Amino acid sequence: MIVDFFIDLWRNISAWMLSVFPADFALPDWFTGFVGTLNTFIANGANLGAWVPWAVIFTVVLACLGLWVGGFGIKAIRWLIGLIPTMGGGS
Amino acid sequence: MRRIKIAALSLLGMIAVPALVLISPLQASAATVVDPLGPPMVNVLPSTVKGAVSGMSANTQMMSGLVYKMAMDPKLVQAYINMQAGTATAAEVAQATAAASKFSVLATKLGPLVKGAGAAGTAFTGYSLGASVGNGVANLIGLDPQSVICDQSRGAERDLLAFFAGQTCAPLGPQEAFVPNQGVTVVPAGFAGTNVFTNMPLGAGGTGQITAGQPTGVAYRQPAPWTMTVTQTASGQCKNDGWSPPSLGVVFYFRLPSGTMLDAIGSSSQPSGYLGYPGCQQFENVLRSVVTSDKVPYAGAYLDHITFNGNVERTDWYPPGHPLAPPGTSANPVRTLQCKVTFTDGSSAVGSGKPFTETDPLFNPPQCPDLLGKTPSKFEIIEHADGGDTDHVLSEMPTTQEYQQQVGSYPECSTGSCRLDLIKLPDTSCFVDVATCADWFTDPQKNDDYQCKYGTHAVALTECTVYAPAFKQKNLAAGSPLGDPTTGEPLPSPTKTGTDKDAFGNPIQNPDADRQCFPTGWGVFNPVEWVMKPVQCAMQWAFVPSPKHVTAVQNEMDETYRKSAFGKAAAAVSAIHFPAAPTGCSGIDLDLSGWKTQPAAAGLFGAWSGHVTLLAACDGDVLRPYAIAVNVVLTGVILFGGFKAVLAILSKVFGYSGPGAIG
Repeated sequence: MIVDFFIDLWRNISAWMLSVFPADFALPDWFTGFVGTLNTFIANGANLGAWVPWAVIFTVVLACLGLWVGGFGIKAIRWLIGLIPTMGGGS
Repeated sequence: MRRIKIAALSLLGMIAVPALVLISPLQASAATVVDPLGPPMVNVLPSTVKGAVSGMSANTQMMSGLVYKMAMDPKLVQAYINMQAGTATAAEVAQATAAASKFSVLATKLGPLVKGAGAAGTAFTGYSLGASVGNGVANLIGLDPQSVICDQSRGAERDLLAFFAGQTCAPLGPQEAFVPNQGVTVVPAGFAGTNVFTNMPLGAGGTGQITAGQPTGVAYRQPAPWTMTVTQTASGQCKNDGWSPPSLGVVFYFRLPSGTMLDAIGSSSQPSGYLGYPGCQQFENVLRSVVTSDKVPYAGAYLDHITFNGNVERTDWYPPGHPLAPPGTSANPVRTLQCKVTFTDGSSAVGSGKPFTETDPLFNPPQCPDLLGKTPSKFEIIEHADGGDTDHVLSEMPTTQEYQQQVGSYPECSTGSCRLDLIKLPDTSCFVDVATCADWFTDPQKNDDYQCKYGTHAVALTECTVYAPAFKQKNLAAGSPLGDPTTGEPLPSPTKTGTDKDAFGNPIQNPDADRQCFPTGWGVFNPVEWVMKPVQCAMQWAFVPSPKHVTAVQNEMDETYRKSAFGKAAAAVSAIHFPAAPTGCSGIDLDLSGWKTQPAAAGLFGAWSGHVTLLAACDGDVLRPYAIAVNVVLTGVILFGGFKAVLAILSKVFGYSGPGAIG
């Protein structure tokens, strides 16, 4: 019963928040059209797989991103360690 | 004065309430006679259950469902078929073995659990199981399948074996696997003469004909790997108008198991005369379009249909078994799981589940038939396929001689409902007149004064040795009303063997369901039970949400969210589809058919379909060699660029200053 009460509370709050938005909301045509165009674009790109090595491109891009994120993390850790007195920071 | 009265009442309450709490169980136990024991539990089925069992419980249904989940995976089915044929690759063997470990359910019989010595021991075992399992034996053969199925997926702590005997599933052998849907031929007969066309007209593009041959090598939902071949022949004479050469495109459409139609994989055939433009005259051309499953860039996808696009006509070809395929094929037969019970007199009875088809995501387990008061000698689970296909026995389980003997001797006990009764002769049950039987076991004339019965059948008096201390009030009050099945010595009280631990270990129950909020059976003698059970019930009432309510709220919220702006936007975004492996070669299809409708273009385009394919580079296409060369060059450039980028990032992070570093 107690958990049921909180579930109802959550349901009512969520429903109220969603009801604040217009009920007759419809996605604009440009948005749905954009999704369709994007799908066509992606499908056309995939159909050019004989020409473009998509797998290599994705691998290289992801590797660079991963390396960049990893490097950023290392720099952040070095910076944090540098804040500790006697470990590189001012004391 | 008033204060004194209140204080006195409070004091009285402080004394009375605990006293009531303490006395209640004692009163209950003092007034209760131990419940009579159930019939002897015997091994109904052999120790290894094979295949899917009838729908007697959620557990066995789940087991069957797992088996059929495998059946829904065409790759695994193919792997099993290949394994049986001895042609499986190492990968297929590994795949099939891994799948078997997922759906294999370990099984055992009751016997090894806690069976005591002698016949009375089996009676005691029966009581233990009957009292603890609660619902006793299943509605059919007096046996709860959960007590014979050692389901490793439930975990040792939830398994009945572990609960009773401290055993796990580990020492037991695995369930034997079987190949479901054996009645379905992977490439069914009857391919020819279905829905393949010939002689596509050329229209204005020329004279002659283009013929699409019968596609070969694939069936509906056929598991990979497969190779499908379509042969097209073209001959005749085309016109030299530059726009409408005779052409025939073959487009393969694939579908995910979820039902989503995927992008097409296409190839086209054009008469050689077109390639020699403007010398498009006589042509004679044969093209074999071959598509292999590894070219389908979607995991788990299967061929849905093929479309032949000619100059003038378009025709769809559906493989046998497809719902839109012409009748006469049976790759997706209607199936029914049956439970067949064969009795010792040779007769049999069959119970069926609801029909389903192979491509259905779910199946319907069978319900076993009534036993009609007969003794079953064998249970079979049969996969029945309509349309004349041979029935396939998934599971065949003969009952044990022990079980047959018991049911034959004591038919009224076959449902597990009869009780072991001690009768004070001439005809008084000791469970009715308790005091009379208090010292029955030490009565020197007990063989003449008492009789032991299962239901209406008299059995040896030694069978009732387990009742030796059962009718003495002191034993009832001490919580040890049952005796050793062999010696009659009072057994230790269950309260001393961890019942409190069991009470704490009870799983959370559905507060909507009927629950036992007060102890029964042996629990009556356990004070902990009198506290734990009501408290558990109260806490479940307070804190465990009602599943019905939770489901209703979930459904309501899902619907509200789906209709909201967020839900609509999320649905639109989720419609963006990224292919798993963007390795297509069919190029870009440009739809220029709108040009034909322009007034200025009237008559210029003739029968041209309005579609232009750019950069198609599949096998047989003119641009194929160039695409390979471009691909190689681009790969080198990208790898070189990526290497430079990696060095640049390293120089930024670690101060690398070698070749390629920035700065």
